[in-house]
Amino acid sequence: MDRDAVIGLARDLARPYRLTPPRERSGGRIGAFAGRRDGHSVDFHDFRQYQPGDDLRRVDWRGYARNGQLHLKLFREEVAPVVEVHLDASASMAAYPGKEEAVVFTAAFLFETAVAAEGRPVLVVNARRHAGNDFRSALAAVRFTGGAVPAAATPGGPGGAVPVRFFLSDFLFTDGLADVFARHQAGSGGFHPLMFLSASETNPPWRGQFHLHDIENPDVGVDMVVGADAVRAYKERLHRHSEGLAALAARFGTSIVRIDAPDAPADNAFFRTLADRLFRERLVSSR
Amino acid sequence: MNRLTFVSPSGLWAFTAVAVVVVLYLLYRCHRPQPVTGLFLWGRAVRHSDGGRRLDSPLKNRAFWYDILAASLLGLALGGPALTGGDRPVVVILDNSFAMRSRDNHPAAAETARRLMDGADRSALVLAGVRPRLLLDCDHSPRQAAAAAENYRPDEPSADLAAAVALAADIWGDAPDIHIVTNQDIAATSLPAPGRVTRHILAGRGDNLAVTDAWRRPSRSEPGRDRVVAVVRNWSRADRIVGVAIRAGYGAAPAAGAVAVDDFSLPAGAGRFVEFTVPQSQETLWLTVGGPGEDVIPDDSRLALPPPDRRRPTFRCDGAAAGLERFVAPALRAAGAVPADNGDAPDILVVSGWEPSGTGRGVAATLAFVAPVQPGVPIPPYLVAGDAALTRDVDLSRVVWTAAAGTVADYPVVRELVRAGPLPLVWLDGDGRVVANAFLEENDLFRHAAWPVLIGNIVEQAADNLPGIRRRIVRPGEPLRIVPEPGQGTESGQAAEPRSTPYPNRSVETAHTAEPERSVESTPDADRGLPADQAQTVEQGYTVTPGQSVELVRKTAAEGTTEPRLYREGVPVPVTFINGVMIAPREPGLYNVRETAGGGGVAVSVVPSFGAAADTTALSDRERIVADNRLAGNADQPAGTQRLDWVVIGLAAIPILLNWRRRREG
Repeated sequence: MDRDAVIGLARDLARPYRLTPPRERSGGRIGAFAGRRDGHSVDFHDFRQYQPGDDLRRVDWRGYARNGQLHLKLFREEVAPVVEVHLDASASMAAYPGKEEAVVFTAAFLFETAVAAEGRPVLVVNARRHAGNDFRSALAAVRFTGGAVPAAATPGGPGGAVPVRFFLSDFLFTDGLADVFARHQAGSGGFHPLMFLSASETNPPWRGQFHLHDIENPDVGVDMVVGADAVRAYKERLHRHSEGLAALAARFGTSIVRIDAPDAPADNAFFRTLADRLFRERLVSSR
Repeated sequence: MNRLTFVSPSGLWAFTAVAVVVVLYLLYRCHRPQPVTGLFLWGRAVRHSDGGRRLDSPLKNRAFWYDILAASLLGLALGGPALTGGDRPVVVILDNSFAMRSRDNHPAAAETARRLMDGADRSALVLAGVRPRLLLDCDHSPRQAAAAAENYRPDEPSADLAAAVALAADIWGDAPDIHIVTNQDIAATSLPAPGRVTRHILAGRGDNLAVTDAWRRPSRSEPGRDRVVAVVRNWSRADRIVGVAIRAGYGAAPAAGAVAVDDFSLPAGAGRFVEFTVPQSQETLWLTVGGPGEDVIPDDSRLALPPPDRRRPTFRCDGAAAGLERFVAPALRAAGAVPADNGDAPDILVVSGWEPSGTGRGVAATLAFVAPVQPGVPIPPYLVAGDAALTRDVDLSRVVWTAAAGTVADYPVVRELVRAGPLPLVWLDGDGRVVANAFLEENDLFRHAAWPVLIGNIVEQAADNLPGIRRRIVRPGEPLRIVPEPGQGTESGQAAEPRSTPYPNRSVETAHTAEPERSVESTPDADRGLPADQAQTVEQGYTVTPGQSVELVRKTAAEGTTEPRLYREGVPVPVTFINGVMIAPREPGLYNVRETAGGGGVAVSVVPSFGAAADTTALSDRERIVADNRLAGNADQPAGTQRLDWVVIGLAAIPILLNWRRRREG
C-alpha cells in the first residue's frame, strides 16, 4: 500500500475513536479537554472567597443561605492539548514494508483521533515539527533514512502547553535509551512509547551463512552462520531487550506498547487489528 | 610392520570429491549480505571496511576443513584400505615329488621346512606336486606345523615349483618371503619371482634313492602270493654306483630285518624295475629302499601298497568261441576265474565268429576277447596245457601276420596293446574290450595246429600292456617263441626252464626277471635283421585314465636317438625330462609315443598315481589352484589382511557430525 492509502485508511478506521484524555491535566487552548485552570466549562472545579467585582452569577447562594458567607464557584477551563507524535525516522523503521506502514498508520490514526478530541496534533520527525495540515503532508513525505538514534525532541509546546507525547520507534538501539525516555517524558502531559517490530525482526526466517550488517550502518557487520541456535539466541536477546524497555518505561511512569507487524500486510485486516489494539491499550477511546 | 594396502584401488578415484568440495565452497559457500535492524541482538559486531557480497576464503572456515576431511576419509574408505598384518609372511614351498623320498632328502626337507617356519612370525606351507596345495596358512598353530612336518610323505610324480610360487603370489600378493625346499637344481630365473625367493636345494649327502612307483597284484603263476613290481630311481648326484636294498614287510612298522627283496646297483640318474612276490595278505605291504646292509628301516621312506582286489573274475564263452572253450576255459580257471552264471554279466567274455573267406583260401576267423578293463583283474593266458600256461613258448617267426580290417571297424581301436607291423593285433576298443584280431585266412597262422596257442600268446602279450607298470613294444619281426606241442618250450623242442633267481628263498616270476631292465631296447636294428635305412617310426597308444599318468624312462641314449615325442589325441604334449625320466601331465586321454626305431628305445609306463587325483574340470591350472586354495571370505586379498573400511567410515562420520552441529548452532 502506498503511503497515502495508509493515511487514508487510518482516517477511515479512526472515525469511531478520539484520543483518550491524558491523566495529567494539560494546558493549552480552549478545547475538549479539561484544563488545569479555571474556566467556563460545566465541570465544577473549586470555591473561593467572593471579591468585589466577581460575577454574581457564580456566587454560591446556597452556601450563603447556609452559612451567611459569600463564596464563588469555580469551573474548569476547557483546553485543546498538543498531541505530539514523535516519529523515529531511522532506516530500520522502513526495513520491512509492514513495519513502515504500521508506523505511518499509527501516526495518522493518532492524528485523526487527536483532531477528533479537539487536540492539536503535531508531527515531530527529524527534529522538525509539523502541525495541522502539515501533519498529513509531512507524514506522507517522511523518509526513513535517519541514523540509529532518534533526533532529540523539542520539549514543550506552543503557548506553554503541556503536550501529550507519543514516540513511535522500534527501539532497536541501546545507546541513549534512557536519555530518549527522559527527554520525551520531560514536560509532557503523558508519554506513550510504541515499539514497532516486524515479523522478521521477532522471528528471523533466513538460514545459512550471512554477513549481517546494520541497516543503518553498513560498515558494521558480522559473519555468521544463522541456524536454529543462532535464531534462538537472537530471540532471547530481543526478549531481554524488550524487558529492559518495559522496565525503563515503568521507571518513567509509563508503559511501552509493542506492536508486531507483518513484514508485508496482505490486506487491511492488520490495520483494523492495530486500531483495535490502540483502543484496547486506551490510547484512544470511543467517541 | 603392518603395511597399508588398498583392496580396491580404483575406489580412490573418490578423492576427486575433495576437489568438488573445494569448488562448492568457492562458488557457493560465501557470506550473503543480510541487512538487520538490531545487529546488537545477533552477538558481537565486527567493523568491516567494505560490504556487499563476499567471496571469503574457505581456508579460515572450520566447516570447510571438516568437509574436506570427511570427503577425504570417504574416498579412502572406497579404496578399501586394509592392513597386511605383521611381517612379510614366510612361505615354504616343499617339493612333494617322489624324488624327495630318498632317505637323505626326506627328513632333511621336513626339518628345513620346519626350521624356516619356526623362525618366522607368520609362515605358511605349500606342497609342490603336480599341482600345488596350500597345506598350512599363516594362522596355523605350532602343533599343526609339527604335524605337517612329521606327516610329510612326498608322493607325487613331479613337483611344479613354478606353479607353487605362482600360488603363493596369488594368495599373498607381492609380499611373501618364499623359500623353496627341493632337491631339484632349479634356476631362479625359471621361477616367477614375487617378493623374494630363496632356494634350499638339498644335495644328497649320501644316496638319493626312492621307490617312485609300485603295484601289487595277485600272482598268476604263484597261487597264494601277490606279485609286486616297483620302480626304484637314483637321483644321487654322485656319479657312482650305489648299492640299493629293497625291503618289504607287512604291518604298520616293518621291523628291522624284514625280508630283503633285492639288492642291486643303480647308476646315478638311472631307474630300475624290481619284481618279487610276497605271501598274500590283507595287510598293507610296506616297501623301503636303502643302502646295502642297512637294518633299520626309517618310517619316512616307506611306500605303502594296499592289498589288491582278490575277487575271482567270471568268464563265459559264447558263440563260436564255444568251440574254443576246451582251450580257453582251463586257462581261465587256472588264473582263478570262475564260470559266470548265464544270467550274470561275466568279467571275461570270449566270443568269435566264423566266416567263409571270400578268397576261397579258408576260413576267416575273428576272435574277440571281450574283457572289461579292470585294473588288478588279470587277463590270464587263455591257453593252457594242464596247469602250465602255454604263453611264452610260441614262436611265430615264420608267420605272416594279417588282421581283418572289418574287425578294426567293428571294434574301433582305442588303445593298441600288440601290433604286428603296421597292423594292430590286439587292442582295447571303446567299450574296454580286449580285441584280438587274427585274420586267419590271409596268413599262415591257421595252418599251425597250435594256432590257438599263438592267440593265447598274443593275449598274454596284451595282458602285459594293460594298466600296470610295464609295457612292451613289439618290434616288427620280433620273434615270438611258439611251442607246437604243449610242453615244448623252445624251437629246439625243449621246454623252457624257469629262470633261476638270485634269491632262492622267494618265488619270482620267471620271464620278467630275466631282464632287470627288460624295457630297455638297446639293440640296434641291424641286429634285428632290418636294414638301417628302413628305420621307421613306431607309435604306441596308451590310454591314461584319471588316477594315472604317462611316464617314459629313457634308459640309454644310443647314437642317433631321437627325442621321443608324446602326443595326446594327436596334439603334441610338451614334456620335460628330469634325470632321464619324462614327466607328462596327468590329463586323462589317449597318448601316443612316437620314437624313431633304431634309437635308444624307451620304456613307457602308464603308472598309477599316488597322492592327489587328477582334476578333470575345465578350469585352467592357475584357476584351479587359486580356487582350491582360496581363503574363505577373503577371496581377493592377500592372506592376513585386516580391512579398515568401516573404521575409516566411522572416522569420516566425526567431521560430518561436527559440521552438522555447527550448522545447527549457527
